[in-house]
Amino acid sequence: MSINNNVIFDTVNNGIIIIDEELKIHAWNNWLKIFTDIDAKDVLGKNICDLFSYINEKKLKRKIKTVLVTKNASFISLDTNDYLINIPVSNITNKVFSSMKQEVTILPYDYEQKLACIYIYDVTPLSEINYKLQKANEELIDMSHRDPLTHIYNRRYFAEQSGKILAFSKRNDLPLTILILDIDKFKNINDTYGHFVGDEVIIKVAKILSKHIRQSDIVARFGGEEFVMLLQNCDIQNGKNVAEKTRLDIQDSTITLKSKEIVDFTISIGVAQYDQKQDANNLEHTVSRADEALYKSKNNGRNQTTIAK
Amino acid sequence: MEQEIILNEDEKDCLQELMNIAYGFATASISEILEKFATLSIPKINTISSKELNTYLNTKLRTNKKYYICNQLINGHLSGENIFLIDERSSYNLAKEFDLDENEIDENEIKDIVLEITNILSSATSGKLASLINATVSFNSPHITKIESLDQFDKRFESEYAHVIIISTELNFKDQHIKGELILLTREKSSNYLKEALSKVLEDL
Amino acid sequence: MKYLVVDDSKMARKMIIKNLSSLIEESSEIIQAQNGQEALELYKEHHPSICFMDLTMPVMDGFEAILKICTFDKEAKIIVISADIQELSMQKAKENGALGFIKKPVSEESLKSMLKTLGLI
Repeated sequence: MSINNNVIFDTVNNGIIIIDEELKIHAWNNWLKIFTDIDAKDVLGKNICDLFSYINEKKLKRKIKTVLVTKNASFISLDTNDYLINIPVSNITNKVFSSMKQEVTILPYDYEQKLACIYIYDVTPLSEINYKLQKANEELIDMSHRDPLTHIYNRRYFAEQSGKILAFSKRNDLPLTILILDIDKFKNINDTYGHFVGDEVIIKVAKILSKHIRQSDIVARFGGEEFVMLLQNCDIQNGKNVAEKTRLDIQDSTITLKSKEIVDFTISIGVAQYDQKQDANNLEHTVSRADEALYKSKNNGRNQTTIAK
Repeated sequence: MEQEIILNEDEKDCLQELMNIAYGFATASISEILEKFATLSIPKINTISSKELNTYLNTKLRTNKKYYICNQLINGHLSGENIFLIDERSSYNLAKEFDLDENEIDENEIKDIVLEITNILSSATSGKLASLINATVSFNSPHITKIESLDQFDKRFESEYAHVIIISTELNFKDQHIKGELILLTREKSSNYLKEALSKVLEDL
Repeated sequence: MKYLVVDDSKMARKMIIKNLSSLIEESSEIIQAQNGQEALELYKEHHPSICFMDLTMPVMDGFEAILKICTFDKEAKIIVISADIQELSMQKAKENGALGFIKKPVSEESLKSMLKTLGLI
């Protein structure tokens, strides 16, 4: 049985173009006619760049030359290109790409006539899966860094980042200050209004804390009703200023229940600046000292800021 | 875990000579494709076991430098993988050698060019080697990653590849200094095929 | 007849000698050199009728050796056998005095054809 190449040429589920070194088209298969709505008779003898002006002529010529010189394949890589020929795709289930993503392989066809064969494969579905997988992974990583209730960072993230940030501050001789913040009489709020309202308070506090930091700072939920703020390039005095502004902001905030009842809340704060002598390259020690200062705030009547020495 | 394939002295010499021819073809291909003259530096060819590859890469990858690693899968008698390693600075110089203007050169363009040079070097070298020992091969599209340290390098090669051929290359176009390394990883079956093919060549002499 | 084969690779020399042996008389002598420097010295000592020269070699490369040998002997017959098959390399070798260029891997046919073309067999 002899193979009927013409049948294969026009039924195969990918694009086939036979092209010369000057990029003139010698063959154009049925797949391409279907997807580009361009007939073979309208393209034979024409330069592919005249038909699709966005194609980089120099690059494509170089790839044709490559296959004729090395006698092996050349490729248009998905890593750096979306397609060779722009074919719009629309699909009710997949909305990631608006143009067909294509894998392109170029192979030598005839050495004497200096012709090459371009194979175009539609890899849109696969690319979409890859894209979604990548996004899901990124989300997963981000989620592992975040507190599920408030969506601010969690203790784990703080621990991961503090080493890096401390090293940076030391290298550049910049002050670093830690604030430990704790919602006052939180147990009472939970007991009086219920856990649902308690959660609302935590969420609101987290939001307010987030307003008082800069790009380079971190605010994280340490657990329960405790938060930490890591302030870069900030000394103890500025740390105290941030603490006070934050405390007052929270003092002025309330939550209104469905019953129109108003819920008040305050926070106590402990502030400590990283000190080489006391903390010996460990930010956790700074956190401890801030925590001790927080304890003093609680003992001295709450809703106040105490600075560690 | 694959068995290590050991080549004797004569087989090593034979492979060195075949690689010289294959790499000569690859360099000439680059010259012809880019229409520039490339100085062929004598490729230093090392054959090592995949276990030693990790140590080797540790000495090659300098800290504080970013590298592109580009790999291409090979199918057929010499199945395995070719890896092209190039530092960021060299890849920039390479882009200029491809006649790109400074304002055209961005990360995507550089990656595209590294992919292209990897394909040319890898398929020309392995393709020629294959033809010298009557083997058939085909190549997959290469893929590129940027890495900053050896930890980001995939370590599975130790269990998958028996034999490693390292070709240290320096591509010199006029004054441009471009340092790149081509590493050929072959699977056990292919290493065996290679060893047999080499001893056949030696027999004929 | 004396022949000089110059290549830093022992394997390459073996390959050339194997293909050469079937084309030349049994009484011929084949001398080997590992680099351009040795080639020059051995050429001066033995005056081979034909010299087969590689290009990429340590100590002294083929380009320089060809130049020096042709300066020493204007009638020197040097055929380059190299893996460096770039156009410009071939040109440069010919400019320095080489008569012909054979691309590696060398075969009996390519060797025979070159020798015939140069009227050496």
